[in-house]
Formats: sequence, structure tokens, C-alpha cells
Amino acid sequence: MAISVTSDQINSLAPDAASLKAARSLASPRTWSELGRDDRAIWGACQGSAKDPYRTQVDWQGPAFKCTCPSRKFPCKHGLALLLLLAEQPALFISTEAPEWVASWIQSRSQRAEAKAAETAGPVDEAARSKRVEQRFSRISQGLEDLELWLRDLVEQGLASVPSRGFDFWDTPAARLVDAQAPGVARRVRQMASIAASGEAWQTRMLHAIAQLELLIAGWRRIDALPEATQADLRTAVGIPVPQEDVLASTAHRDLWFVAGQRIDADDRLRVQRSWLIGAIKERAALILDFAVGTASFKTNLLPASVIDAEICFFPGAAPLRAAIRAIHGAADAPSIVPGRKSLAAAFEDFGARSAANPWTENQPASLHAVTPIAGPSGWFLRDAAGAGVPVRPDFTLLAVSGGLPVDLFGEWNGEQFLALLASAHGRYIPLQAGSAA
Amino acid sequence: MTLRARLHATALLGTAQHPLDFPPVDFTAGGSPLDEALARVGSTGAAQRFLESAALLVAYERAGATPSPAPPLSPAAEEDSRSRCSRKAAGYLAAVLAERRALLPEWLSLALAAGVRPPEESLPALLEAGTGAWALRDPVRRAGGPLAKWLAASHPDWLWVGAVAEDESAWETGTIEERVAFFTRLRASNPARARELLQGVWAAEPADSRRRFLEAMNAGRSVEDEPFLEAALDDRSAVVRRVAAEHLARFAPSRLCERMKARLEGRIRIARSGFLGRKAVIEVEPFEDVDAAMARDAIEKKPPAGSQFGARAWWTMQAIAAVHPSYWAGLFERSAPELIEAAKNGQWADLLLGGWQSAAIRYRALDWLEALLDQFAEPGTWPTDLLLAMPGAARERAMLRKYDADGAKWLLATAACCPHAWSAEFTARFLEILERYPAQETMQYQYRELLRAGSLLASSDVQLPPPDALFERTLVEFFDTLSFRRRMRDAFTPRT
Repeated sequence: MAISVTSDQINSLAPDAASLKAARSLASPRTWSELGRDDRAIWGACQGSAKDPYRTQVDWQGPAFKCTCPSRKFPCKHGLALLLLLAEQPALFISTEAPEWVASWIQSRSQRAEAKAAETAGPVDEAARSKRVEQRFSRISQGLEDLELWLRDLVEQGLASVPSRGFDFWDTPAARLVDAQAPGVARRVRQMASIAASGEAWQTRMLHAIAQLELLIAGWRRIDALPEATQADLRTAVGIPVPQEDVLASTAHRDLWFVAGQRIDADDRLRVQRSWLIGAIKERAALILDFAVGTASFKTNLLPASVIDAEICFFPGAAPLRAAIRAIHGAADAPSIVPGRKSLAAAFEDFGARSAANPWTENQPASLHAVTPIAGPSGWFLRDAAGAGVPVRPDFTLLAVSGGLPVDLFGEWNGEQFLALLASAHGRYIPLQAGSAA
Repeated sequence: MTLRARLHATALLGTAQHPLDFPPVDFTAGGSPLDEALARVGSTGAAQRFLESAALLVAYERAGATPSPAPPLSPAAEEDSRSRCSRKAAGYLAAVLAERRALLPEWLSLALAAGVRPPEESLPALLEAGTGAWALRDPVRRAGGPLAKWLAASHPDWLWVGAVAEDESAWETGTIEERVAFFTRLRASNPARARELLQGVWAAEPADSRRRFLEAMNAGRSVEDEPFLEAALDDRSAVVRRVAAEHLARFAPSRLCERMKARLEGRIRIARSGFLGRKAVIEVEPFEDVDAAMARDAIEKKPPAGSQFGARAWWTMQAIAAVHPSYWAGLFERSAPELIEAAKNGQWADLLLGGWQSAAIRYRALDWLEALLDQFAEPGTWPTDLLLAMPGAARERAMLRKYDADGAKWLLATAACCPHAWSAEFTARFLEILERYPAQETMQYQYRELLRAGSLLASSDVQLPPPDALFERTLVEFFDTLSFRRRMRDAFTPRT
């Protein structure tokens, strides 16, 4: 199996534009020697400003980078340049015999991965832990009771005057929820400030937001009476983190996972990378979140439109979507069409089923079959072969890719609008929203 | 009134003013799961009842949402018969759009030359680029093809793509900008039709529009335009007359040129002087006056402010400037350099050389441009307008001939005097001189500008130094751009 990579994928790996630019200048055969690749890795030596060439290698499982240069950027420009060179001139990578410096690194990485997988959760002070959990539970309960009072005031007065309120109006209850250790609810309250300013039909959106909060409060009040999976959904919606090791200890799902879409949300200095995977065999969707602060790069390098043979574990819930990667066994060729593509009616059945199972689901994945984007006078829509429609976030790249003809799309549905993340058209995949931090 | 509508009304007005009727459902219809759930909503106050009812209704609706009917389809983009550029070429386009905007014209011209189109997803960025820069509009429009035209129809900023409609409605109803754009394009494809259209509206156009249309007649200019241009010499507006005369002085044999020759008849003579009369000298008998006919041919009466010429010399020089310079070579049976030499021997050198220079530029008379450049310019200066009137190869030859001892000055002149794609030889020579004259402290800024401009003009077919052998740090970027351009160009040539 030959490793291949596209420039879009490389762009998404670069820590910043300067690195990418520097990498492009270096991605020239005259700068490199000892180029080679095998199923697991690619490598080469780059003549830089130092006397000895830098030894650069990329492990495809990750992908992970290693370079002998002193750069603190990660991946460094040499690693990116090596990938660019592979994308442009794969024939230059003649050697298939990994030299010692590559083989030893790969071996140590494999050992570390095994050790990590074998690592079990250390001994925990159960008593202290349950006390902390109890304290948090009662703080949250108090916070949610206060929120309900605040909501009652809000609906007693009516929503008509809401758009004229300042940010304080929303920030104060949101801050109290943060203090009550319910950051998930605080975020929903802060979002209401932008709903109030979101223009036409804001009233409907506001009513939906209020209704979902009330459902959350009411659910939390009787959480003990609810099924275990719904309890987990409530905890997630409130913002109680699930320890990663608990997730990784649950049942793993091995499949060829297609990276169907990716986008980056920026909230102040925190950036969240949302990567959607679809199982190529079982067609199940999973959401991998990765976080980075400032200009740091993300830990999971999932390349849009690539395929990984991986084991993933889902976070608990009644309709689980969020997942964590337990192990990656290798890369595979991308399928020729987005897996699981559906008509709009079928996609909405999925949305309904997921919303019924977990009413606090915010963004749901869907891969749509043969939909045509329409930029009409009454807004942007996708239209499927049956004439059904759904509003879509305006995107001229999407429109250009379609040219007015049906395309297959993968994207997110937030209950209001579809956000296209990947198009499959003209026999290739085209990432949309690439690098966008909306 | 549905429950949904009642919830909405209550939400806006507030439960204090407008409490939700309770129980909110009419049970006669028999219970849906929603009705049953609503029946269990408590009775702890109007606000709480509202919140709980809303929570149930919204959850119920979300779980049963269906798609709505879509708006009708509009026609798709016409098919583009060209194939998409290679993935490699597309990668270079993405890089150009992201960080090397100055190379966009080159990418577009490579694509047009190769007969391939840019990838679909690049069109929004290309159209944005064209919106921001007039010079890019035509290449973007042509490279983008039918898909660009189709896409542009849905964005108000991109209407320029379709603004050059082939139909003549733009001509009749458009703004002056649209009409000039239409006229310019039509002039390039069908000059006679463009002229006819202009003649049809000529009398009704204001002077400024007449001038702008006349100025847009450069493309496709031929002797067929002469009757129209001759008529324009009688225009009410002096500016329009001058533009018409400028056109008429650019194709020979024009009637205007013939009239000028007749006026100069006998006024320019070769005489002999010096020891044994070996030196040829040109003598000039300047015009005594400007009559009405001369004024009609746009001979200006008043010399420009600060001119070195007296009125009579000024009039005469304008007449010489309208005559193809080869006329004099034929008349006196002497070459351009010989005539220039003879002019310099007499007292009328400035008048003659000034007139010939304008004429040589107007008629693109290469032998004259070269002769004037060699003999006329001061050492160390570069008469840019003479160089710019030459084709690229001749320009480079002339520029290399003009290389003198002050290498730094020569270098700084190259980008302004040779704004065309340099040949490999010229580029190599440029690099050689560059190596010999590294930037001095005081010229760092000019050098940076020179290298930035030069990196876009220079041929990428030269030996690129290894990255560590650069003799100067400022050159890193120069060679970086050059090497990028070479790889970009290679991306368009099929692998050999």
C-alpha cells in the first residue's frame, strides 16, 4: 500500500502560514537527499543552513513528525516540505529500505504506543473521588435551579425586549453557571446573546434555546430516574468531562474510518478541531475533538478525505457521536464515494432518531447523496433528487464545486442549517471550510 | 391556533401579560404522545407551565422534523470543454492565492497557454482577485470560463464577469464605464462594427465621453478609421481633436502625415560644412506661423510651460513628430545614425532629435529607436520611453549595450525599462552584474524593490545557486520566487 497525500491535507497540518511558505520553498529536489518511503513512514535529508543535513521523517500513523532541526514549530518546515515533495514528486522517493535512524524511531514509537495501550488507570482514592462528585452534583443542581428562576423571569417579561439588552444580561447568569461547575450550560446561555442579534426569525431560535435549557433543568432534577445512557448525555450537556481513560477502556470499534469532514472552532485562544469519521464498513459516524491553545498545533492529525484503520471508543450516551481514538493500525486508500450517502428524507430520519434519543444533541453528521446547492432569493438551500430541501450555510466554494449540478456532500446539521464540510464531485474530494475558524 | 403559534405569541408578550391557556391541549382529539406528556405538566405558575410546555413541544418537533420542499432548480453552468489543470498545477494556484499574489497573472497565463482551467474550488478566490484588480479581470474571466460566468451571477461584487455581454444592450443603456468596456472589447474583435456604433452616437455624446471612446480605439486601428478620425479633427473639443491627431500620426501613410510632409517640404535640408565640406549638417527653416489648417491638425500654438523651444521651433517639431522617420532616410538617402549625426552637427539638433524621437515612438520604428538610444541619451541615463517602444528582445539588446561603468545604477533601471518577461541570457547577465554590485547601505530599499520586481520578470531558466551559496541574504527571496516560478511552470508541462 503506497502512502499518498494531497496538498489540502498538508495545508491542514501546518502550524501557521509562514511554515507552509517556508516548506514550499524547501520542497525542491535540489534541497533533498536520501529520500525514501515504506508502508509506515517517509524520510529524507534536507540540506539547510547547518553543516550537516537535517534528518526528517514522518510516521504515517498519526501522522507524527521528527526532525533533527532546532525549530520549535511542530511540525517543522522540513517535515511539511517532505510531505509536499511526496505529493508533487513521489517518484523521487526511491529507497524503500528504512535507514537505521528511521527504523529505530518507528520502533520506539510502536513500543510507546503499546505501553500506553497497556497502561491501566492507576489506583484512585475512591472515597475522595465520590465526595468530589457529590459536591459538584449539588453545586450544579443549585446552579440549574437559579437558572430556571432566571428563565421564568425572562418568559414572564416576554422576549420582545431581549434584542436591546446588553451583553451583561447574558454574561451574568453564564458566569454564575461557570461558578456552579456547569460550563456546558453556561456556553448555551452565552450563545443566546448571539441568537438575540441573529436577525430574522431570532424569536424561534430563542424559544428553542430556552426550551432546550428547560429540558436540561427538568432532566437534571430527576436524573436518577433516567436510563444510564441519558444520564451520561445530561452530564455531557452540563459539561462534566468523562475521563479519557474510562472511554478508552470501553468497547472499541475497529473499522476503516474515513475522515469525512473537519473544521476548527476558535473561542478566544482555545481552538477546537472537530473531525468527523465515518466507518467505511459499518457506516457509523464518530466525532473526534482535539484542543489546542494559542498557536500550538493539534495532537491528532486527521487528514480530511483520508482513511485510517483504527480502533475508536465512543463516549457514553444514548446516541453516541463523540469518540476517542484508541489505536491507529495504518492508513488505507480513500473510498471513491462518501460512505453512507442518503436522501434528505433519510437523513432527517437519522436526525429525528438521534434527537429523540438525546434531545441535547447539537450538531449531527450527515452525508447526503446528489444534492444541488441553490443560491436563491430566499436564501441558500440544498435540494435532493426527490425535491426535498434544507437550508445550507452560504458557501461560494460549494456553489463553484457544484456548478448547479448535484454533488455528494458530507456536513453537519445544527437543527437550523446544514454546514457542508466535504464535497465529492468530479471524481475527487474537495474539503470545504478548510482552515476556517468561524 | 396551534400550540406552536400560541407558544410563540406568549413568548414575545410574556406570561405576565399573556399567560398560556392551560391546559394547553384540547383532549377531544385523542392523545398523541405529546398530548399525554403535556397533560402531566404541573401547575406551579404560568411561567413554569410555559417553560415545560415549550421544552416538550420543541423536543417533540425536533424528533419528528422533516425536510421542506426545496426552491426550484436554476440552470447549471455550461460545460467547459477544457480539462481541469493537473493536481500539481492546482497546488501551485492554491499557494499563489495564499501567499504569492504577485504570481497570479503568471499562473493564469500559463493555464491559458496550456488550454486548461483552474479547479472549481479556486473560482471564488479568483473572482475576488479580479474584483480587486482590474488587470486580472480579463485573464480571470477567460481562465474561469463558463463556470466563472455562472458563479458570478450569484454574487453582486462579481457582476463584472458577465458585464461584457456580447449583445449591444450594454452599449445603449450602460453606464459610461460599461459602455467603454464594451466598446474596447468589440473594438478588439470587430473594429469596423465598433467604429460604426460610435459614429451612430457621436454627435450626441458629451466631449468627455467622445474623448474616452476615441482613446479606446487603439486596438484594431487601421487606415479604415481615417475618414472618421479626419472628421474628428473638426471636433468642437480641443482635447478630442488632439486624441484624433494622435491616432492619425500613428499609421502611415495617413493623410495627416502627408499634409505634414507637404508643410515641411523644402524646410529641412542637408548642407555641408567643416573642413573641405566633409561634415553633413541638417539645416531647418522653421514655420513662420500656425495657420488654420495646421491648427486643425493639432499643431499647438503655445509651447508647454518651461519648454526649451521657441514658438517656431515648437511648431516645426510637432510636424516632424507626425511623420514616419523612415521618410527622411529615404529623402536624404542616409541611415538613421547618419541623419542623427548630421542633426547634431547643426544648430537644430534639439528640434530634430525631439521630433524624431516622438515619431520613432509613435511608429515603433525600431532602427530609429535604436539609433536614438545609442547616440542621443546621456551616459548613465535610460530614456525609458524609447526602450518601452521596442519589442522585448530589442529592448534587452539595447539595455545591455547601455550597460556602463555604474553597474548599480544600471541594475536599478532594469525593472522599469524592461517590464517584460526576461530572456534567460538577459537574466543571467542581470545576475552577473548583481553579484558584482551588491547593495550598498544607502540603496537597500531600492534593491529590495528591484529584486521584488525582478523576481517576477526574470527567466526561471537560469542556473539557480544552491540555497547556501547565496552571496547576499536579500537574494534568498529572489531565488525562492524564481525557483517557485520554475516549478509552477513545470507543473503545466506534461511529464517527460
